[in-house]
Amino acid sequence: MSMHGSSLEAKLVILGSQGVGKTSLVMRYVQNTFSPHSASTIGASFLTQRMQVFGVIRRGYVDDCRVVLQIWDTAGQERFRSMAPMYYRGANAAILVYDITSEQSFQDISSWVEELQRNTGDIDIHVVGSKLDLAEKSREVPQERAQAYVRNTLGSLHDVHEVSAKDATGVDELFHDVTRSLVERTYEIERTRRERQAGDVQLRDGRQEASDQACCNV
Amino acid sequence: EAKWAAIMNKFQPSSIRKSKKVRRLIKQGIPDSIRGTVWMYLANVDKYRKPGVYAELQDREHLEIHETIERDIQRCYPNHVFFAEAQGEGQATLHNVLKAYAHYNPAVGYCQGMGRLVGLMLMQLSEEDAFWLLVATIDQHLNGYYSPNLGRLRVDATVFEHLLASHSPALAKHLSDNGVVPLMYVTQWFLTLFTMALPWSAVLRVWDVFYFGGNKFLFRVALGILDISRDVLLRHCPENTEILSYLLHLPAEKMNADDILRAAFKVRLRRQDIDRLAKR
Repeated sequence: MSMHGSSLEAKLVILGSQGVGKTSLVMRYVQNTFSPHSASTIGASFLTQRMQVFGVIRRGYVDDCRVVLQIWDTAGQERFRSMAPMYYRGANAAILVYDITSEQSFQDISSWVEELQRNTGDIDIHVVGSKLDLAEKSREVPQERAQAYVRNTLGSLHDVHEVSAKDATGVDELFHDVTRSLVERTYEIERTRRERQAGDVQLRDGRQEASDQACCNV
Repeated sequence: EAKWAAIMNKFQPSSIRKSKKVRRLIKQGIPDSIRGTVWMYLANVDKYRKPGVYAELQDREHLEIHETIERDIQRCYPNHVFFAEAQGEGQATLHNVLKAYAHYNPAVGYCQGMGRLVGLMLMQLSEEDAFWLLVATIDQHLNGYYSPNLGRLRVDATVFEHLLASHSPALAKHLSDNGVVPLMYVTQWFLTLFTMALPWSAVLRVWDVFYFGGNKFLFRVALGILDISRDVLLRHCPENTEILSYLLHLPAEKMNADDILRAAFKVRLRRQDIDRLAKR
């Protein structure tokens, strides 16, 4: 992730079992479209989206930040799983998708969490239950259970997101939360490093700026 | 058409690769009316076909992998009129062929991407012919591509990286400097035999040369695509975001069949080099 003034580029990877709706989620967010059957993703698909996060505190000021999200939408079939590291290595955030009408797809989430925690430094993990429009008819995973799992595994500040790509419920909020969290984490890292350098008053302004930029290439 | 009929009568498929005349006909494109038949001839389908086998495979029991197929059937060609309807003939035949193949070759079973091949075959051929063409195609040209560890695909992606480096060093460096490795784009190109990457007119012509020249033409066509994209990639795609957006969403208007094939045939590539790289 790199930052130039108040803009940053971040990599986001979407993971989860076959048919949970990873592509539909991304298409709703990026193109605001939905089709009941999107073509199966082979390997992975790549999309970008620009957005703006307002009102984040940076160096004591309220700041707006422009973000370019690079999104890897991966294939869900089990045999493509061995390729996943190519996409999540170097990613800043991961969205793990399960289908609220499929208990199995929810079970699969925990192995993704473990794999990411084992193989990546500090990737920001978000758990998402999809197909919320089918909740009344065929929900298999109660929200409370998913929520409890997320808090236990990722910490008490995390929430499960339930969304519907079909009727767009929760999709913009999800990506906004993900992006906001990325920006805040980046500023946090930046702040920590500045504090560490605080004693070093010899640095001239220009050099200070230069080292700021360099240090944010996470 | 008449020329093709004469060729198929006179020659063994294995002996025609050297024929300049056939090569010329292939480059022009096989006529639509006999395309499927010529593909079957070039793929040596008669060597594989056994009477009664396909019908027998249809009657076999349900397999676990069939559920993966079922989840995918509607997602192979969601925008093609023949395959769009859930109860339609297109989806039914696609389903039958894929289920039968999972029984026929349990080591492969089913891998996403195969449905794109079968779908295109079904646009040209009957259900049973499409099945045997799939069998012949995977056995001769795509062995190991769809296996559970995608082994051969990984090997060939690495081979491709080396081929690109010697074929087009500046472009290879530009891609690798930006963290773009072939597995990120050839996975979709190769596993779907370019059906998701190129416009239809180009896909059919690419399949013509693929059945003529085999697996080697996956590399040739891929290098051809990169050749005609070289300037765009070097001049207008300075960073990894632009490069990946381009390679994973090739602009249809630039993917002209004649241009791709001309570039593909121009690539200097020997089987020995591919095999040597694959062994490493």
